[in-house]
Amino acid sequence: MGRYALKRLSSALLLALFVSFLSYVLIYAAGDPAVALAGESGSAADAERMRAAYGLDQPIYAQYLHWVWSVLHGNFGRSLYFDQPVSTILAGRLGITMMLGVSAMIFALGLSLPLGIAAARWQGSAVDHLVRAVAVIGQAMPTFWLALLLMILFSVTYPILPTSGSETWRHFVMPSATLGFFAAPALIRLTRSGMIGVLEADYIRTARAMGIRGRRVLFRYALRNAVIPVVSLSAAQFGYMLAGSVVIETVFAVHGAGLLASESIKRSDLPTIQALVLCFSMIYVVLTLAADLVNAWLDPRMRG
Amino acid sequence: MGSVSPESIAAPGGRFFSRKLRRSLRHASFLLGLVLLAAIVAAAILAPLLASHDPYEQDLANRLIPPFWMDGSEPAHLLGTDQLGRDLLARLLFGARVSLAIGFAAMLMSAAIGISLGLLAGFFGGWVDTAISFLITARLALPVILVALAVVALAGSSLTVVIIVLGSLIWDRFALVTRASVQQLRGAEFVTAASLQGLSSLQIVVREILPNIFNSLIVIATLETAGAIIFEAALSFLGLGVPPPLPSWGRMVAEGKAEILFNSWLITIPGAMLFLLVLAINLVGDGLRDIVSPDSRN
Amino acid sequence: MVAAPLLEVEGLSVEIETADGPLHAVRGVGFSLKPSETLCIVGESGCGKSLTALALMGLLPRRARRTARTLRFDGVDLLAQPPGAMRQLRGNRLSMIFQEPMTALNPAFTVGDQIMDVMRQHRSVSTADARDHALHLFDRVGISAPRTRLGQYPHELSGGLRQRMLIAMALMCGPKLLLADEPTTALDVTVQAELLRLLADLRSEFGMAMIFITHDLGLVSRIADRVAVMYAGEMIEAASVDDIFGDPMHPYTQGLLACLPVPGATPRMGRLPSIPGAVPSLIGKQTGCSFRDRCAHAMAACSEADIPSAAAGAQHDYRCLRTPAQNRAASP
Repeated sequence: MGRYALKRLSSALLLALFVSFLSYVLIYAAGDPAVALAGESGSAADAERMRAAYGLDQPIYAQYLHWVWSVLHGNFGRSLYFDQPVSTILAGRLGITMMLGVSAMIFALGLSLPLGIAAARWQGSAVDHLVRAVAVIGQAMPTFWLALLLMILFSVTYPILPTSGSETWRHFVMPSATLGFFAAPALIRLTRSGMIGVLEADYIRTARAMGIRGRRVLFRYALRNAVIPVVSLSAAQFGYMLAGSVVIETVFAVHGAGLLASESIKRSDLPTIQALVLCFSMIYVVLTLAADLVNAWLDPRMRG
Repeated sequence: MGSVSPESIAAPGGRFFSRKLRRSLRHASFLLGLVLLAAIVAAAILAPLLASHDPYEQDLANRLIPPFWMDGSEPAHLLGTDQLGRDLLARLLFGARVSLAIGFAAMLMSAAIGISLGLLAGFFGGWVDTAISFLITARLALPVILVALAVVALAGSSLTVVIIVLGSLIWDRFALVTRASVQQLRGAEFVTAASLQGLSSLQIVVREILPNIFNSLIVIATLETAGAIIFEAALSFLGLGVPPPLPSWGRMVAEGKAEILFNSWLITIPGAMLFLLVLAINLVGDGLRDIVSPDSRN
Repeated sequence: MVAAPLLEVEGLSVEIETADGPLHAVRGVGFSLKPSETLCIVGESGCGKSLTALALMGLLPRRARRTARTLRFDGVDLLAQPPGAMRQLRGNRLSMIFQEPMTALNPAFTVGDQIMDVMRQHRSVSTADARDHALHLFDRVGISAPRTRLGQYPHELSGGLRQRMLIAMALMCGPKLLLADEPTTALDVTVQAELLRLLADLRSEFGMAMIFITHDLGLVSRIADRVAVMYAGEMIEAASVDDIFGDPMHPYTQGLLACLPVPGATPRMGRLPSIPGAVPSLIGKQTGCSFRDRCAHAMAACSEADIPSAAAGAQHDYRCLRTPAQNRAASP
């Protein structure tokens, strides 16, 4: 297991490096950051000053390498807007986004697993059709629309939840629910199809032939096998949720990394943007790695 | 013929009629999606004829008129007007054009990129495959909304920019599916036969392999169109999609947010249109998938 | 004193819903089994022998429906048992092992976990006791290094080893009847022979009755007390093993035996005889003898009505309109 983990870790680092390089190139290909920093009313001279001040006159690869070097030393540069080290700003905001993500994931799994299992257990019945309808509807719903609908329902029509901010747990209910509902449809489908496949397997027939209780067959013998692809998908979905947090945090004014991202983009705060891209992709990479390791633990066949 | 083994009937089937019922139900949702999609596409194409107002025309004297099912509505504006007095129905109809155009164009571009990458990786294998797989994984790790927002912010928002940004970011599923299918087919006999006949790699790919993966690619194409539409709506919602005054359903929802307390229909109606369009496309895509591979578990 | 039968089956039928209509996979099967007796059910693929066993266990797939006049096991009316009661019988008084050992064990758990679980489901024993019993059985079925094996995962074991473990699993609670559905078909010939010997030993040691399903007549001769031949869902002949081989009645049975190459008797380089034709479709209403299209002795009466069971001697029944004398004369 150790060698497997090490191998995956090194390829993960390589991946993160490449992703950050990719984003560097894409952003520079899009336009001239110096011009953006100078603002709409800035002149060419302003842009030049920006360029010199922030080292934007260096060739791209030099800027990138310089950035990688400082990142490896834990220095993400200074925010152009806040005039503080990016790492300080990021730390607090990331924490809030992670909290949002985790509670959303709990909501998503709490919804998807039971629904998927029920749909598989009673395949072809009304329960199954209902669950699949929920998945189809959830997949088509734009997250920002759902967010606003919830807001209309729970803050305007029946004012029981706050619309913005991130102080109390109440502030997290709607954002988590929305984000969770975003990740749920894919998880529902995978749980359902995975369980259906497993329930048809020979080893489940053996368990039944040996007189094992139905509930035990379902929740221990079958689920353990069916959950493996769900673990991988959950990790990937968590990564997408982090990206989706950009929208949700904007709607609910939750002061997390997602809101920071959209604000920084509008302010052309490049160091912050680069740091955020790196962080989000690193989180995705680490999560998928963790998922693989969990799977290796769940499925003994993968350890070889 | 008529002989049976437990294995052949082991697939759980539910009650007696449920197999036939399920098949027709699946068809029902496919038909529903098709009808809905056709209606929206038709509405978009016929927008100039169906809209009784110019979607860009502001009429500040007639701001915030509610839709016909609420008090205070006016027959001239079936679905009401927004905060600048623009007719909502007209903006919805023309917004359909924006969504469909962007969705379709972005899908085509991402298909071109993704399928090419997938073909190369699947057909040649070796280091080409390793490199392209790495690229795909990197793309999956990339927080695409962030990158898309940043690029649009820097390059300036326009229809073209949005299409290009989306198209260059959402090709991953095309690539993955193409790669997997080509790998499967690469060892097939008809491919070996073709190469023995002296066909070049390109000819083999185009004449033998592509037709065989066409079906699954069509399914992906519909689902990616829906994805592109939602992606554009999200970008416009955040203010970095198609530029005003172009009517985009996403931005209409964002503009409606300010009116959430008393005129929330400005939020619900454009959002509902997005939902219906994406739902329709997804239903069509799912239905196509069932037709293409009928024994899949969905 | 005649021992009461352990298992009594009368009029067992299994019907499967298909898109083209009901498929009559098992039709009016009846037999009985004494304690410690071994019955071999023989027939070609698709004749319904596996479904018969599954029907006894109550493990039929969802689209299949079971009907029977009588289904009594060890004094229990199986037809009247609710699912919960059936579950308590399975793995306990009535066990089954299947054909594919490679996929029959759960890959996510150790074999020890799975085997001990069977005992803990049906008996209130401590983990230590279950473990001891498992080790004892491992030893009994000839698994080397049993302690190590307990902690291993199925994918680390060979097919023959897995099948031995499945046999041990089936025996954990000392069942009175073991159903074995072609347990050796997927294995090496040498492993086959070993397992067959093992099963024969176990059944006498445990005083267990066995229903052994196979298509291999060679295995039948080695292990059976009684033999039942199935064709197209029907039991067309049932007799003691000696009578089946020595005095086959039904033309199909005779055909099967004729297909067996006999060292010394079958001419070398000659063609092996085979039965021409194919199994008829079992969808829709069935009348008359299902073998008539392939039978050299078919008559008009064979298509008209269901063939009743006739007796050719003590404990020897067959379904054919011809008399024993006629069938004996025809036998090669």
